[in-house]
Amino acid sequence: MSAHGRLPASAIALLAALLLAPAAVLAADPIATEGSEAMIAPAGVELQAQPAKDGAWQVKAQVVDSAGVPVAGTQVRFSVAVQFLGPRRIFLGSAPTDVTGRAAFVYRPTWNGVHSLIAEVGEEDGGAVVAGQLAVDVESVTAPIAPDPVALPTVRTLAVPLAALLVASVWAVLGLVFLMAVVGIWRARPQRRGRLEVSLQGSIPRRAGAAVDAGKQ
Amino acid sequence: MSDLPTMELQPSDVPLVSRRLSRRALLGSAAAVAGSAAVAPLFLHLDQLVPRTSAATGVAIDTTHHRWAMVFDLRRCDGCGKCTTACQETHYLEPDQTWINVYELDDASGGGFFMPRLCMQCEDAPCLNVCPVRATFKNRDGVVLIDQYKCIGCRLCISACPYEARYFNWSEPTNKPPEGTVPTPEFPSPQRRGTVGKCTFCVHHTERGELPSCVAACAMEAIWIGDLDADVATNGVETVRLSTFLKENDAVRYKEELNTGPHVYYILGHGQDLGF
Amino acid sequence: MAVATIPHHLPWSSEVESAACRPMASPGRFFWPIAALLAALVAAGFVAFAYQFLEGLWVAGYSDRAFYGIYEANLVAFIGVSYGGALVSAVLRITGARWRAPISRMAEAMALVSLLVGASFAIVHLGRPERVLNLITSGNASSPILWDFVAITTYLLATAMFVYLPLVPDLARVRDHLAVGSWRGRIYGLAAIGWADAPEQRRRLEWAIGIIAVLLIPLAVSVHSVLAWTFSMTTRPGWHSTIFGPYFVVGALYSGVALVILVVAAFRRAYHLERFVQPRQLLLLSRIMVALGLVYLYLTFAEVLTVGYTRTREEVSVLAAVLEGPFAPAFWAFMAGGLFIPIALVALPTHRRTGALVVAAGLVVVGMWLKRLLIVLPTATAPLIGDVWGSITITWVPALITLAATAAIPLGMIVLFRFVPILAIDEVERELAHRAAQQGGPA
Repeated sequence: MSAHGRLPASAIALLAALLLAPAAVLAADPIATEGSEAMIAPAGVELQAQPAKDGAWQVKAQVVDSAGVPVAGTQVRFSVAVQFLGPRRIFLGSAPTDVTGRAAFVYRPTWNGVHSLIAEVGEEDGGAVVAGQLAVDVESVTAPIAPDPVALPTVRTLAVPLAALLVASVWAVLGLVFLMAVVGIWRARPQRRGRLEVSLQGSIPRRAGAAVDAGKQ
Repeated sequence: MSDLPTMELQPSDVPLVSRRLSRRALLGSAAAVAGSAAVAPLFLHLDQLVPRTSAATGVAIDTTHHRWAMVFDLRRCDGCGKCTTACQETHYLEPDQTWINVYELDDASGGGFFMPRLCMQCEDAPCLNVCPVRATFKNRDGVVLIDQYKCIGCRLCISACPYEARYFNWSEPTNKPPEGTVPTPEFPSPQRRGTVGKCTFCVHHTERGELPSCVAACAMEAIWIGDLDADVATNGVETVRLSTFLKENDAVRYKEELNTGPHVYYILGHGQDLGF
Repeated sequence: MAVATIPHHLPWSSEVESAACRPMASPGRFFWPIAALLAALVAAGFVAFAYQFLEGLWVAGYSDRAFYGIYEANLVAFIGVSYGGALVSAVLRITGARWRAPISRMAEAMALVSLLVGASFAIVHLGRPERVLNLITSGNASSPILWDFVAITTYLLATAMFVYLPLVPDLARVRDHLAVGSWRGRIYGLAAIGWADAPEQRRRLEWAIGIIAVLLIPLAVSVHSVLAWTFSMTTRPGWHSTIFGPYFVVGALYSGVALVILVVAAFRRAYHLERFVQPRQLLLLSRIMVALGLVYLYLTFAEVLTVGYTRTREEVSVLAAVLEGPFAPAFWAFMAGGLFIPIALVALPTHRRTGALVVAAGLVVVGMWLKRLLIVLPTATAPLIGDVWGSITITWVPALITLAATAAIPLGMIVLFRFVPILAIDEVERELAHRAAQQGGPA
């Protein structure tokens, strides 16, 4: 689904007002009522939208017949066109027109962008009269279903560095201790001086069978 | 003090055999070193480098952000299994690999109902947390994907998934896509032996503006694909505002108490819309 | 007071040295047949692994509803039995148990060899073992398997150091009895890093061994805790239990001490070490084993009690399968043969003969291996949705590899004792001198 292009609400209102003017002129004509034998077929629908409180929009559809006379008592089906894996339409609800031929609907948008509102009248199988599309630009609406929060965020951020520190220090200690021991033992080895073995107290004679004084203990 | 005892052990005491063994051992270890040097390249990128996104194949990609979700309307599910078949055909799966699996379960009133289950694409996915090599990752649209060229096959993700939604390639796959198909995390076909696979919400379809295979295949129009950010869902025929749809139908999530944040909703039922 | 240096030509020096070094020179006429048999088994294990590597893990009997099995149990079991070495070497050293001197070399060697064999199962159970280096190049710090890798390598390093450092004086002894200038003399000389029992050298050595002994204990605890958490940090019934960390550590110690008893008894007989390794050592080890067994019994009971009392559906279905269902024969066989009978054999005064102790230890080693299977298999086959359990398939591949691993431990040890003395000559001589000094004369 995509939303491109913007129309300011004031321009829309102006446009709607211009379109509504002929309807107002013909308002004096008799309007077909429900149950009347000769139903006047709706021929045009105009949409108008005004922002209401809490981010909702007051949408009004004016239904007129071919003569421009408002049609009362017909159901207007409101939808919004979306591009979601193909062009699709979400049915929002329907409302009947009042004596002035207006049907009202409160639209609460739940996503940001341009909303293409559609109002339809007429029998569905008989071919609906597709009405004016109205683009409503919505900003600063938050999605109704927020992502689930992830639990224990502080622990999660701190745990890894702390664990890495622990592991690194264990490796450092092991390595240092081992190296110090090996190097220390190597360094402290007794040195040979000529043929005579000079060794520190209690050390092993380096050569088996070497002449070691039995009394040298 | 006692006499100095002589030490019996002399070089000549060491049997000839073990002397030869030592020399042999030296030669053997040299051979082993040479052998491992020859074998070492196996560990270095034996696998072909695979492109990471479908963009490499040149098809136009939808670049807006989404937060994908799915809804199953159990009032309409009749357990036919067409979703499973379609998924297996799309992804060239083995018969055991039911990335979308339809369970037949008992309800509290003694009856039964069908529940299709696919990957929940969890917000806080346990499989992602436990993967030791980051082969399981999340794309920017919240879909959990698997890089089968990183996976070491430890199956800890299978262990961690509370929904048993992951399937392993225990042997070389026999069902293969056409020759030359390049596997990517978004469309891992052909699959690799010894790695794990699961439902991808058909991102390779959705990024081209097409419906996931199971959504398209469901004859009962019971499976919906939706976007939580755009607040819309469609089953291919009808399109609804997702939040309203879920609220009006009292949709729930499965094992929600485990706090994994699943992105799959269920409208509870037992096929009643079909007369079950 | 400075560390007393011990003159090396005491009456018993040559006896200790010859007993310790005889296996290096003349290990007996059974050495080659036994080594050949064990090596054949190990080779067969490699062949089986190669087959599995090429074919895939299905040859090991796995399936999606039986995703963990004998390899994972072996990983825990074989690393577990290495803990006997840590206990004998490190814990008994720190607590000042001087009687451990004659067996410390065997225990340490057993620990190193079985740790290597056990860690290899971490590779064997992978679907793509050749990619294991991804753990380093692309690791995920929050993954228990990465923690396993880090813990096992650290513990391996520490164990290797702990085998090598006390070995230095003994390597010096062997060096001294080889011809100067011979290449073997030079190798031993290099390994002995110029050891001549100088006071400074002795100081350094004792200092290093002391530190590593102290470090070895938390490292050992960490390895088996992390292995345990690999299971318990999932939500699977039967695994998701807070007791798993201590449970695995105690189990490892229990089976480890038992294997030390077996190893000591076997080498005592084979290499005629009766003069130095006496029934007393075996008895004391058996008592430690019994104490650990009682703790393991307690932990098992605590586990069963807390699940059995609250009986939530998923948990109790696994517990029922173990206590009453398909796994019940194995479980109760373990309780009897792995816990009650060995404890009775050791505890009853009339049975304090070496044979009974060895039988008890053997029962414990086998029983604890079975218990690891009982930890892995029921939960791995239990369903999370619906109630259809997975099925376990036993094939020749994991059986052969397990057999090969069991053979690799004695093989590794008998080969090792061709190159290093089987007794810690230095330690034993000092212990004997210490006793002689206490008794006021030569023993």
